[in-house]
Amino acid sequence: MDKTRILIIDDEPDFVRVVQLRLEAAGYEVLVAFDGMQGVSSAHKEKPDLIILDIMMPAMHGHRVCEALKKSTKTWTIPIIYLTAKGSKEDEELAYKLGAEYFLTKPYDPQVLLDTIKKALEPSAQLEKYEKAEKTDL
Amino acid sequence: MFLISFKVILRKNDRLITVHRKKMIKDQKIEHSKALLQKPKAEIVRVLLIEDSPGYSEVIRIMLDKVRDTRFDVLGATQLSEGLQHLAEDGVDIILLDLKLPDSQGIATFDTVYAQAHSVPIIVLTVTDNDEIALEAVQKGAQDYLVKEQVDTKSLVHAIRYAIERKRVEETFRETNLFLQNILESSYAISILYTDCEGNILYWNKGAENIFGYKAEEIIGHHKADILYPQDEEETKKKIEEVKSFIFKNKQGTDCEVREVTKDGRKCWINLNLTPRFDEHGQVIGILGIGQDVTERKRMEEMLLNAAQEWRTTFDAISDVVCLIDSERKIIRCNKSMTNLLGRPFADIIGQSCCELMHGAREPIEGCPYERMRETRSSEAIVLQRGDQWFNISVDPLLDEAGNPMGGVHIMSDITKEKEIDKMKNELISNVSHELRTPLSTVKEGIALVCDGSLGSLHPDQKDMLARVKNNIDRLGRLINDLLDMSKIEAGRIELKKTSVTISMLVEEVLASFQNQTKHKKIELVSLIQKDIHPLYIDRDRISQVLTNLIANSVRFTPARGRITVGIKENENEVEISVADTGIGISSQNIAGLFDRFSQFNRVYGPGERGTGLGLTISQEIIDMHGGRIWAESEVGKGSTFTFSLPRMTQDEIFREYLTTGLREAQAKDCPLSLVVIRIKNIERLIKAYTDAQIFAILREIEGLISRILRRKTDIVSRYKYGELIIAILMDTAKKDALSVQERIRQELEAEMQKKEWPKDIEPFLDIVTFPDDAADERELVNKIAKGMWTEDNRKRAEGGEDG
Repeated sequence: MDKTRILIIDDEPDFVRVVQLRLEAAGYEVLVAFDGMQGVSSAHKEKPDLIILDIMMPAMHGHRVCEALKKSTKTWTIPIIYLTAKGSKEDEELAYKLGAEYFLTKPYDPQVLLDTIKKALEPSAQLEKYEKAEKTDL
Repeated sequence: MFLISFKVILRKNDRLITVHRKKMIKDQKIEHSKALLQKPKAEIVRVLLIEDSPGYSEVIRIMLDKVRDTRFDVLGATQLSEGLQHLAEDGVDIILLDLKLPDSQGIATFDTVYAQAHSVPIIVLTVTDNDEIALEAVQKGAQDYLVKEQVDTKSLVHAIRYAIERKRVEETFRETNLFLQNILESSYAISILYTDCEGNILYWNKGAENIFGYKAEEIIGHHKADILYPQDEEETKKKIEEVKSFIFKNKQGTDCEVREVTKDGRKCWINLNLTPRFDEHGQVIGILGIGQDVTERKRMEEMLLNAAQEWRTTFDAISDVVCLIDSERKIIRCNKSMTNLLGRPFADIIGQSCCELMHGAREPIEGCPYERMRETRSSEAIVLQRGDQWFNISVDPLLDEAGNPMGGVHIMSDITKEKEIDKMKNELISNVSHELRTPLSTVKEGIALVCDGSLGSLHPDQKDMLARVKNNIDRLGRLINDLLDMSKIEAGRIELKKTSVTISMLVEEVLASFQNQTKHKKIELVSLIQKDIHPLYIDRDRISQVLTNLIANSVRFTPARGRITVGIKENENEVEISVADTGIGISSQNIAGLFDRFSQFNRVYGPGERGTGLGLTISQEIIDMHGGRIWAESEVGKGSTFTFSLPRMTQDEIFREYLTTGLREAQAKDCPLSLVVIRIKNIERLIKAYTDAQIFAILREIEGLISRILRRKTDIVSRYKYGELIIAILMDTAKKDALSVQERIRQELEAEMQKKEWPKDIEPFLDIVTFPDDAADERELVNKIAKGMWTEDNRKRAEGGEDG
């Protein structure tokens, strides 16, 4: 079976690198994008299993990335975990409203990040999302 | 008639001054004279007859003897000297005087007699060809003259009686005048002076002498202006000229206040009443001035005026907007800053209602400090935004002399700048903190990756060094978080997200996060909190933060093999949660400032991590926001106990709190809100069959199950009706969506009932109430939840009941 693939969208290469190492150590395959635009196109092309998203980025703001991904029929099922330094309540609320699954702030606890990823990938979480989608489609 | 005149002639300083007499006096005199003529009384009139002709004397005597109703005692004198002697020795009522005597002739005779007997009426006897002298005598003071050849009894008696009466009236006038003159003279503090039209002084009383220092003889005849207001008093001169022209033009008196100079050079203010005097043609012939020295009064007035002016200037110079408001909220006074702020003149502001003027409202705005002040009777304040400006408005009560409230003093300070600086500061801290976070997390994770061997094995020394680096990075992270929290608290940007929290679980979680640290130091961590403590309605993350802070402090200052105990005390309205350690303790002088910012209270650090100095301040703020208190007790060497209290709410109160908050949000966002109500249909029977604890445990398990089923962050599970009902509050959820949630709960619940060893006869029942479909407000919602009217079964039953 193929490895679970995670796309990291963040404009800080160093940060992306350490997260990548952490996730790879945990057995995931990591894709990276260094701005929002790149992130959205990569998500469409590669169809990752999960996306880790920053807010403050050039080219395309994190919230707009989230909105675009959650609105597209090709990408809306991919769970999104925000991982951002901009941890205000408004951002968190907006993120959930836009359909994000989880919201974490930098600096992160590696264990919490790995647990959250695991939770987001659980089949029951996915199932609920399908139900929700069915409802909204009605 | 010169006798009954409107004017009385005064002799003073050889000049004539006419004074108006009261008409009443005149009338009295006329009445009196008439009475005398019509009803002559039987009386004795002593007549001194100075006449050198014995024959004529005899004629007079005979004539007078004939008079029946009056006895005339006639004293005769043939020479002036003899007559004068009689005058000196005997009192007489009237003198009949022949001007041509052996020892004196002509007008000189009259002069001599008049000089000696000023108060006795004199009738001059004369011959036909000597009318001129007789007239002269009358002018000089004789009452009448009789031509010897024409005298008969009737005319003689008539002349005598008139002369006596006239003289008496004259004397009365003279006395009255003397009396008036005395008054004029003696009014010590009032200056009375009389000038002719040009301003030359003709009369000067004692009062004037007293005020100005000049004696009458020094000043009479001089021009008033030369003496009283010399060259430099231009203003006075001008004013006097104005007043004078007014008097001449309008022929009436007036008042004025002028500054005049006394003999010793003192300048004094005189309140002057000027009255014109007229001649018989109505022409002004002089001006009577009555003056009063008002220098002192004027000085006081000026002082008051200056004080008022000074106060006004000061009031206007205040950059804060100040206004006084009466009990009807009308502005009774305001300063210039207020007119500037409103861009309206004083006249537009005074008398206006404060509500209308400042807020454009008829009624006081919400939180109006003036209204609050009226209730509390003490200072109140509010911060208000007006356009781009921020104001701090404070109101202090305005009391009358008896201490009764009569209004308020509003002071409105522009705090826009402070607000801006504050905002800038908070933004700076916030931005810097955010900017720091990304590199920090990179460093932290990089080190962690190296440290845990993910990137290859390490030499023990390398590992040790990296562990130290990691600790310090963690510390940096905490400091940034604390700074951020602090700036959020100061900006008032922390909003509590209260939910129902089982405190024992929260404490266990926090303690668990310290396991690694305390295991290393061999510190024992104990929670004495029972599991069945009622849930608290708190912000889980924030209270967790407080507990973490307190426990981290304890861990830091407790030596190895110590003990940290988390305890709880349930009071009626609150619970007290305490963190007690067996650490080094805090001295009493340090306890006072413990919760101040950056107070690291000189505690000696043990090994391990250092604090940020903000933890306790933040904890205090968080507890404050929850409506609780936080305090510390300590004994040096024995340990410290930090305790905080949190208000207690019943499950029902918590549910209502959730419902209120949820509904408010739903109304604001105009979105639906659904409640899935889970009840045990046969609870009454179950209560009889099982113990309370068993049922309680089951309900709790169901609650936990539903919490797990609901995944949205905004979904809430609560208990109501003393815990009998388990209610899922689903924000932004329409009825049809709630139905699918209900269905999922039902399925999961059935599956759970299969798995668990719950009593087989338990009958859970699910129900949905949606706002605004089923209920328009909170009251209706609560009613429907309680009645459970919205299941198909119940509805049918209710309808059936109605049919029957």
